[in-house]
Amino acid sequence: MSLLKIDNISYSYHNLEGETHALANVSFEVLDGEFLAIVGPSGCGKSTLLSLIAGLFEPSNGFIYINDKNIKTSGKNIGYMLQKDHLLEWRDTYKNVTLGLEIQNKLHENSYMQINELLNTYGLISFKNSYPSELSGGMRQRAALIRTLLLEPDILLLDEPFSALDYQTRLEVSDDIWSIIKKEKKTAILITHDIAEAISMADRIIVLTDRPGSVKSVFEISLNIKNKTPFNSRIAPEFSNYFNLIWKELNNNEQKV
Amino acid sequence: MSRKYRKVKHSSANVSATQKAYVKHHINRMRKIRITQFLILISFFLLWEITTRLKVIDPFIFSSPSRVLKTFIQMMVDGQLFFHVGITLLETFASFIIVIVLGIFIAVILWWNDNIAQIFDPYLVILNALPKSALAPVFIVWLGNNMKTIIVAAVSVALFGTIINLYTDFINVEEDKIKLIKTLGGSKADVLFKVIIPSNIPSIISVMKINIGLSLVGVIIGEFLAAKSGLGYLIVYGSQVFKLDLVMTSIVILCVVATGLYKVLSVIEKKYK
Ligand SMILES: Nc1ncnc2c1ncn2[C@@H]1O[C@H](COP(=O)(O)OP(=O)(O)OP(=O)(O)O)[C@@H](O)[C@H]1O
Ligand SMILES: [Mg+2]
Repeated sequence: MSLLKIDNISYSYHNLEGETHALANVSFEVLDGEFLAIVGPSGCGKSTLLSLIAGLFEPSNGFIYINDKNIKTSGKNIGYMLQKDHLLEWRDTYKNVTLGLEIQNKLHENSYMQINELLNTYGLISFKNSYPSELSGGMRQRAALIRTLLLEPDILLLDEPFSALDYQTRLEVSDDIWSIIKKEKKTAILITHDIAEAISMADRIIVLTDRPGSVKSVFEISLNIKNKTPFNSRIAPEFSNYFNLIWKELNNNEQKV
Repeated sequence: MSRKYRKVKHSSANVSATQKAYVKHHINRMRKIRITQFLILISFFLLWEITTRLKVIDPFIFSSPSRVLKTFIQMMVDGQLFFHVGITLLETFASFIIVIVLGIFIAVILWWNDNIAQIFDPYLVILNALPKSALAPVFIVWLGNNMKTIIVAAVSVALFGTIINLYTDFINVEEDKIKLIKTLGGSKADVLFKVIIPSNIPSIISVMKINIGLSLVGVIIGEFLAAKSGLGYLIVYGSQVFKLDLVMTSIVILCVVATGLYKVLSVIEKKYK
């Protein structure tokens, strides 16, 4: 059954210089527990799409449903991880990961156990009282993920969460975060510029057209490997086929301009 | 970053000879600067004392360090010193606190409501540009010859710049930090208290540092025009009755007070860095 349904949505930004059509008639569904990746040319409306799903603003046209209910009334939580970690420099790791709970007044005595457990599992427990400037890029990203996970989201939105990291850290952190998401059985939508990253992590990939973005094509990814992790996926025999397919799809997208 | 810093400190147990030489050179240079600063101060007072003693300049008009010292001791003995310094400090602190509280409060309102900000923008610019000493006589007429006038005058000197500075810093907070709070389900009040205010603590402190000086300027202007006490009053009174010893002593005390206030805020600022 589909958890999230995007039904023919469009969105335009308005300002005095004019109107920007960011998205046009986008429709797709996301299954419960699925890991979906979205790739598309720069500026085609990917971040806009996530903001709409997160309910930060309303689509100009069309609807978004979770479990067949409107997002506002569905009672489902949506976690949104922005492109940068945006840890607040004046808070230590503990106060940073609990920011969401604090805002939603969900910080109770018994949250303490769960917070410590997550910090422990993801290797941040000894940095509990450190400030963001003392953490490595990967640690910061994990802290941002814990901040999102503590709100127990049903759907996780990830907007190029690894783009600020160097290549090696990026591979490590995407492995980490992928296994966290799979272990917690979360549904996730990942936006990325990196085709290899999309193939290695996702169950399905949606390619968007140039702005205004709409769904251009969809690829089911099935890789023939044991013990799938994003890192292992890269050595799967099908990997390069998918890569070429999606690469072509993206490039003839750009030639139209 | 601070981890790296710790490492550097740690390795200082076995510093190289060149590092030692560098540090030594630095310490020497700082020592020379301090000595020169001290010499300038001493020679200034010496020159002042000698030229007045030799009657190169008129000690009646210019006073002299020994006369200043004598006046200072006398003022301390009869309690005048503490009284006048106390009044000036009281007025300065009162205006300072009013400016900070009112400044933050109004800046928050402007940040909260864009329409209000745009409507009041030209008025703030005018009020900020206006030389506030022009208003002081008006305040005397309206409020009388008293401490209220002095505090209002001092507040008017510092308030508008404070509002404009803080508001500008508030609206320049990274857009994505605000988006973060919203993605976590936060309201506008959460944005204010979790991001806008805490991220602007350094800028609030630097505004305070500027304002303590401005409040003192405002208070002295106020005391020139409407007071029976305070350092500003002593300076004006002294010059009117040609007690230049009193004027010079008050100015020297004012130097010390101003520096003291500035230092206090520098210490607070360091604590937050
Ligand atoms: N607040 C805004 N006001 C006006 N136009 C905007 C605004 N935000 C985004 N846009 C425009 O809408 C289009 C889509 O923006 P969006 O950020 O969704 O693209 P994106 O696919 O995430 O791009 P990127 O890959 O570079 O992150 C872009 O052309 C952008 O310039
Ligand atoms: Mg984007």
